[in-house]
Parts: sequence; C-alpha cells; structure tokens
Amino acid sequence: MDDPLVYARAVHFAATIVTTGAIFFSVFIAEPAFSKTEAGARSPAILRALFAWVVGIGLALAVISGFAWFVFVAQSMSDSGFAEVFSEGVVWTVLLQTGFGHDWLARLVLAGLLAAVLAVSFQRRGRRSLSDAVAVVLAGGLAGTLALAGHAVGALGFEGFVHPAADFVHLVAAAAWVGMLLPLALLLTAVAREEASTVAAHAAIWRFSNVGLVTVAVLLVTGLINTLYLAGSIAALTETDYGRLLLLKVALFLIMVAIAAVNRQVLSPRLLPDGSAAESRKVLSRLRRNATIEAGLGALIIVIVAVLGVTPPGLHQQTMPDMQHHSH
Amino acid sequence: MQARIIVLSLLLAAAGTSAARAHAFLDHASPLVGSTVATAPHEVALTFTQSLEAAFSSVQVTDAKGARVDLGKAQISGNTMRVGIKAAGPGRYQVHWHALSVDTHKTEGNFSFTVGGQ
Repeated sequence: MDDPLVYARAVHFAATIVTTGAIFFSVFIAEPAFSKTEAGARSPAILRALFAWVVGIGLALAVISGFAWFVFVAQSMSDSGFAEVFSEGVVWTVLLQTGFGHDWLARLVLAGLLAAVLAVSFQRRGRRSLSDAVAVVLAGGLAGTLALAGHAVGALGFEGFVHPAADFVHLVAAAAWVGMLLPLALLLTAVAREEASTVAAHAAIWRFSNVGLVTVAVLLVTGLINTLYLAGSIAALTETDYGRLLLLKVALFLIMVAIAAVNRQVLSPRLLPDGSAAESRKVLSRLRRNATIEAGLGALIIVIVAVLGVTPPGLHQQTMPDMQHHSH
Repeated sequence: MQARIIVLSLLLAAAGTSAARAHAFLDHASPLVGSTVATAPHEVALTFTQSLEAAFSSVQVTDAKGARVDLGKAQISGNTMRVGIKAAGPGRYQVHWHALSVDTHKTEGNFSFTVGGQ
C-alpha cells in the first residue's frame, strides 16, 4: 500500500464511475421520472443542477488523478524520478509509443469531448435527445477504456481479444450500477421534502431497479470471464494475495446484491400509487439509506480494484517460473 | 439450461487453453535456457507470454568475464525480442532481460547458455 499509484488509481476509478454513472442516471432514470412530477415541483431543477455539479467535479477529478496515474506509470516504466520523467522526455515516449499512452490519449480526448457536449446541452433547453445519446456513448467509453490500462491487455490469441472486451463491458456495467447510487441517493433526498415529486420518485426507483437487475447479470458474467483468466483455480483464489482480495471483492458485491434484492422484493412493492403519504415517506427513506450503504460498499470495492491492479494476478503468481520475477 | 452449460464449458475451455497470463514472462528462448550449443549463435531470440512495449524492453548478453557481446538495441515485435551477438568463442554466456508488458507491468530475468568449443 506504499505505492502512490494505488491512490491515483482509486481516485481515478471512483471519479470515472461517478461521472459516467451520473450521466447514465440523468438520461435513463431522472429525466423520464421528472416528466411525472406535478406542476410546480421544484426538485427536478435542483437535481439537474446537482447532477451537473457531480459530473463537473467528477470529470475534473478524473483528469487530475488520470494525470497522476500517468506520471507514476511513466516513472515506473523508465525507472526514473519525478523530475526526469519531464526533463528527459519520458512522458512523450510513454504517451506516443506505448499501449498505455495511446489509451490515455484516447481517454483524454473522450473526456474533452464529453465536457464540450455537456456544456452545450446544459445551455440548451428543450429537446436534447441527440446530445444525450452522444454523452452516454462518450461516458460509457470513458469508463470502458479503463480496461485497456490493466491486467486485461497483453495476452495473445483468443484471450487477447476476449479478456479486454469482457473487462470493457464489466467497467461500463460497474459505472452504470455503482455510479448511479450517489445520484439515486441525492434524488431520494430531494423528493423526500416534496409531495409533488412522489410519483416521480416511485418511477425512478423502479427504473433504477430494472437497470440494476441487468447490470448485476452483466457484472456476474464478465466478472467470471476476468476471474477465469486472472485467478482461474481454487489455489489461485485462496492462496495468493490477488485471489483473496478478489474473494473479498466478490463478497462485498454479494452484500450489495442482497441489499438490492431487499429493495426490489420487499421495499419497492410497498410504494403504491394510492398508498398513504406517510408509508411512502418511510419506504423512500429506507431506500435512501440502503442506496447510501450500497454506495459505501461500492467505494470499498473500488479501493480493492485499485490494489488489484498493482498486485500480480493469482494464476501467474503461482505458475511464475524460476529465475524471473515481477519487478513492478 | 443446456445453453448455459454450453456457454460455461466454452468459457472454461477458453481459460484452460490459454497459456498466456497477465505480465510478460519468458516462454522460451533460442538458444534454449541452460543449454549447451555446439557453435556460437548469431542472435539470441526470446519469446514471451505477452506482448511487449518496445520502448521499455531490453536484453543484454554477457560473456563469462562480464563483457557485453550483444550488438546493442534489441528488435522487438509483438511478444518476441531478438538481439544480434558478436562473433563469440566457447564459454558460458549470461542473458539478462527486462520486459515491459503492454499491461504496464515489468518483469525481468536471467538465464545462461554455454557454447561448447572443443
């Protein structure tokens, strides 16, 4: 944990996931739900402004932490200090001549385009379906391309294609689920204070629940593929640091799924269109508390992912031949 | 149910057949690791388990006295790295390689081979 790269990775993963998740939430959950608010409801305007702040801060943090990640990797690749990385042109070599550098260039372009599209669509009221679609694609790309900076790349043959593809989809799904929890908690907080938004809150809950169901299924399948490639044996899972961290991550994920199942099976069905306002407030408050707990568990998972990226994967730690070692 | 079993078996098969794992390790070399060859090779060729970054991967070959006998910059393409060798006599040679995988992680290792002369 003395590796500063771990911290840069943790902040970058969290910032990217929150940015992408807030954009997904705004387009797929919040705006369709806002159309159900009664006239005079104030929460849609408040939430739109809040989501814009979340995305803006998230994007800024992603760029800053992405820069730090890049510098740490350039130092490690060239075995040089912080100053030499700049004075001796290592940054350009890494940026222009390595796969990691190309991925980082592509992601910087994605982040720039995303900022431009959001700035334009935020100014323009009315129909914004085209800019929404472009923002969703760019945001998904920003999360997914994190796959190309990790253990998923480098393999030869069939694995060389399937593993990065699975990891790309895994990251987009993770951003869709974990990244939407914070905006969901914000939405539930805002509508709790406003009777005119209750119907919209119910709509948002059910939409989120359905999206969550799909993303959990996608996370399971793509996570299984990643695991088979990186820690695909019982020994690799139980006897290596990588495997044990991965098992801890899976356990946290399962707790999140259990909470989501309670939300969907027990709490959400109690939100009846003709139910009492008191009952609705109680359920919405519990859902908000659960979303906050799930977001906390998601943050823990992101920290584990940050560490996993600098830990030698279980399978190869076991099969590592003599006379060679991992020198990261 | 059957479809699920087929998908799972395909995944397991895919995982089982892939020799390559994260991080680049030496898969095989020419001359072979630890081998004795009759005549001095013109080059040392290394094949790794993953694709390499050419800008940050290198190999050095030294003779028993520690003097470099390689011709300098290695040619790197995909997962292979090759370097030319100066005309060399019998003796034991040490190969030290330094590999940066495209997944940004470094590995390094040593091996030796012997050129028999007599």
